[in-house]
Amino acid sequence: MFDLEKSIAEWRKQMLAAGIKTPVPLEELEIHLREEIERQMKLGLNEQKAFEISVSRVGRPEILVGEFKKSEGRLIKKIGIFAAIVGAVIISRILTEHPDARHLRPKEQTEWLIAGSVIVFFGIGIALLKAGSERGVVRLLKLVGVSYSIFASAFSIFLTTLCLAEPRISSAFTITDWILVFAATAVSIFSIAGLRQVCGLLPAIRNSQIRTTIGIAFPPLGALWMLAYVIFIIPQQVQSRVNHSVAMFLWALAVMSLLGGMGYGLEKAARKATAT
Amino acid sequence: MIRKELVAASAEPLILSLLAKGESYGYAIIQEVKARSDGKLNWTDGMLYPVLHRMEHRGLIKSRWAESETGRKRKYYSLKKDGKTAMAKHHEQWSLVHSVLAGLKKEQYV
Repeated sequence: MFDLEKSIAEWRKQMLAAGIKTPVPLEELEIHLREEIERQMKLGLNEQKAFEISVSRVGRPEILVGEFKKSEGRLIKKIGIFAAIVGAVIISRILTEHPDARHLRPKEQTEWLIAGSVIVFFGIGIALLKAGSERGVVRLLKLVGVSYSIFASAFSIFLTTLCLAEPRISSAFTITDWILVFAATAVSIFSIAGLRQVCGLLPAIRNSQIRTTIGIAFPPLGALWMLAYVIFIIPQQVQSRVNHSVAMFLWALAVMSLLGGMGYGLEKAARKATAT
Repeated sequence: MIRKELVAASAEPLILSLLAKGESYGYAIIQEVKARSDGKLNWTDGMLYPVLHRMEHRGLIKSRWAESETGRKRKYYSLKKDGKTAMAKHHEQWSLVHSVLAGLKKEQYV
């Protein structure tokens, strides 16, 4: 005697064995299978015949698996790997170069390095999961980029105002220092507001895969740059004068801001070019 | 029967255009395409889902689980903004191919 539920369970097993993932897409395929069986039976077929026809309609699992594999975002994987490498590099540099970390033994360093990489990897993973789709990931990372620019601008304005307001600091500044300080602040602000206008001048990369990969690479580059600046350059500036330090720091922020805004700018440039 | 290359190429524009009318789920999408093409556009049913998932990854459509009137769980898909843009592009390109083809066909009878 033919048992429909048993046969469906058997079919599920075959699908799982072939590598179809559960709950999605297997759940979705099963719902489809059941609806098709129902329809076939309404047309007058018996349970067994309806089941056989419906199974063949849904398709062979090994072919379906190949198709589903294609839909699992390859770009997302690339971003994850990229993030993990960046995280590992940052952490290894901190451990080997940072004065506080020198007392650590090599074994501890490796442990910290692994722990750090795992944290970075999972952090990014969760962010990607939250974003849901490839397009969502691109948006999220672009948002990060733009928030760099906003942060850099706000901080530059704050620091510049502080220098202006404090006579002891402002007296140390020469005209050239002030020009440098204001120019850096202007560049930071420009990278939020101005990139919209110059986006026509940026290259319009028509291949969207390449464009998003480059765009996505910019914000981490910005973070890396700032981190490198804070870790390696600031400790060497302890001896240097306040006006030089402030001007250099603001320029470092400006570079981060530009890098942050670049992904957004490239996307806009491509849109503009395709619109005309 | 329509060749499989053409079936594959037309899947995305057809799905987008169907979803433009309102949200729908896998089984209904297939049935409607079959009905509208008099059964000539015949997809292997299972193949629709990888296409839908790919389109969702690309941000063209979005999905949600819901229960039907009969209490059956279903995954409903609907169009997103980028999907509308993609659909317009598809329509433009398919119209162009069609008009070139139609023009050439006409000339054969002159």
